[in-house]
Order: sequence, then structure tokens, then C-alpha cells
Amino acid sequence: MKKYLLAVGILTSGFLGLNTAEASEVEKDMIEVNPLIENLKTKHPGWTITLVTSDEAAKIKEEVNNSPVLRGPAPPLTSVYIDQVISQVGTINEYSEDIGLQQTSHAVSGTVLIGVMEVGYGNDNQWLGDERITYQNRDYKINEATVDFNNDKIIDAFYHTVTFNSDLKISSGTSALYKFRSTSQNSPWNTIERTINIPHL
Amino acid sequence: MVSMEDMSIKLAILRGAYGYKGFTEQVGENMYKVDTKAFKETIENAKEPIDQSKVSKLSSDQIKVLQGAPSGSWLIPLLNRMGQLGMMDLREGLVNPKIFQYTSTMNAYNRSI
Repeated sequence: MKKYLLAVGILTSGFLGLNTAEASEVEKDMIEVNPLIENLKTKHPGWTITLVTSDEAAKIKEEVNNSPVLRGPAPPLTSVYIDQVISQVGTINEYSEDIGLQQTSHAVSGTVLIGVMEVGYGNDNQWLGDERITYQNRDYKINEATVDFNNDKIIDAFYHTVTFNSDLKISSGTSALYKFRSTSQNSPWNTIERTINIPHL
Repeated sequence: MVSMEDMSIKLAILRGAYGYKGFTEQVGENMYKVDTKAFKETIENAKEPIDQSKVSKLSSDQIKVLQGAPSGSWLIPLLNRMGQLGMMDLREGLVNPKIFQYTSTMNAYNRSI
């Protein structure tokens, strides 16, 4: 709502040359602006419309230009890869494995962390075996970090980690399949799924 | 006081998302031993920069991008601390070069189907 309110301010001042330098000019502009605003109020009764001066509009434009992310459509999902599997997290025997295109990780024990890179914007879900991994499920600790790989101030990718106690979730001598599935937010026919088989010692 | 497990998660994200290579020792083709304890002690106790040439801090643009996810609340102070100690040159950007390898592979794959 805030962004829209500001945009309306910019549009009205930009289109109609609203200027507060002289009182008479303001009055003249107000006469021209009022019908447009009344029209907008009628069409969109839920909107809050605020007039801004040219100086304020310039400041708002600058703020919008410097604001961080999500200007324009979200980049489509283009790639997902399982980056690393770490076992015995937080101990002196912590080992990390770069996964690449492998289908099976090293045999794990203790707390395990899985890192997944998601390039583009997707709606993602993850599972360990048949169990869905969610923020609400306290057996799993989920983290997410943002990546801007071309320094244009737009988030290009998300790095996800999930941490869990493998001694509780995977029986000794067996394996569990971890699955990360993401569907592109703006190209919903585009779904990418990656899996890794995780054996327990 | 941050637990060892939480510090491990942070170090894992620094490696995976931003390509940080510190406090790991390669022990196999794709295997690395991680010394989270030493990383934690350095972050919490170091008084002097480890590498003066890498002393740096996050730009306002980098901060805004990091704030795009909840982890930004701890990544921003952690990365600034690492920049203060010269553990990571934040001016070089925050991206794991590995991402380009997989993006180009996936683009080629998508074009071929």
C-alpha cells in the first residue's frame, strides 16, 4: 500500500507538473489535479491518496531507485542444485561434502545439514523420506540466505539450509531420500526437483 | 553466546552462498573437515585484523539484498565482523562462483529439451 500511495503521488505531480514554488501555481495545479484524484477515489475507494511536492517526489523517486529488491517481475526459476551435506554439525568431527551431481552422500551421523542453491524465484517444498520439512516442524531448523550475483541490487538466488538430527530421522544402516522441489513463481509450469540419498552409519 | 551448532550453520551458509573457504581442510575429493570451533573463537575473540588488505565492510546495497531473507538479521553483523577482521573481502561481492557452473549447465540442459 505504501508503495502505491507513493506512486500515485509521483504520477500526479509528474503528469501535471505540481509545484509549490508559488502559491498561485499550486492553486492552479490543484484545480487540475482534483478531478483526477476524485476520479481515482471513485474508482478505488480503498486507496489513500496523498499529494506531494516536487521536492518530496524527487526524494521518493530517489528512495525507490535505491530500494533493494523486487522491482519488476521476479526472475524465473532457472536452476536448483544440492550444494553440500554436512554431518556431525557443531562437533570436532564435522565433515562437509560437496555434492555436485552425486546421487548419494557420505554416511552421516549426528546433526546433519543440507545446503541447496535455488536460482530464481520459486515456491519450494522439501521432504526427508515421506516427511515434509516445514518451519512448523520443530525437528528441522530451516535457514535461507539471499544472493545477488550481478550486483544489480536484485536478489537472484536463495541459499537454503535444513538441519536435523539424523540419529532420530534415519535408522542406523539405512538411507533416507532428501528431496527439494521448487516451482517457478512466474512460470508455474517450470518445476525443478533435486534429490540426494543420505545413508546413516 | 552462539552455540557451536548455530555457528556451524552460519559457516555452512557462508561457504555455500558466498564461497567462503576459511576454516576448512580438504580431506578427500569432495570432502572437507570443518573447524567451526576455531571459526567461532576467531569471530568472538580476535582483536586485530587477520589480513589488513581485506579489511572492508558491507555496502548499503549489499545490506539491502541481505535483508531480503530472515538470515540477514545475523548475516549482516557476522559479515561486517568478518570484514572488520579481514577474513573476507566484502568489496569482491557476495557470491559462490560455483553458482555460475550450475546455472550455465542448467541453461544448456533446458535449451536442449
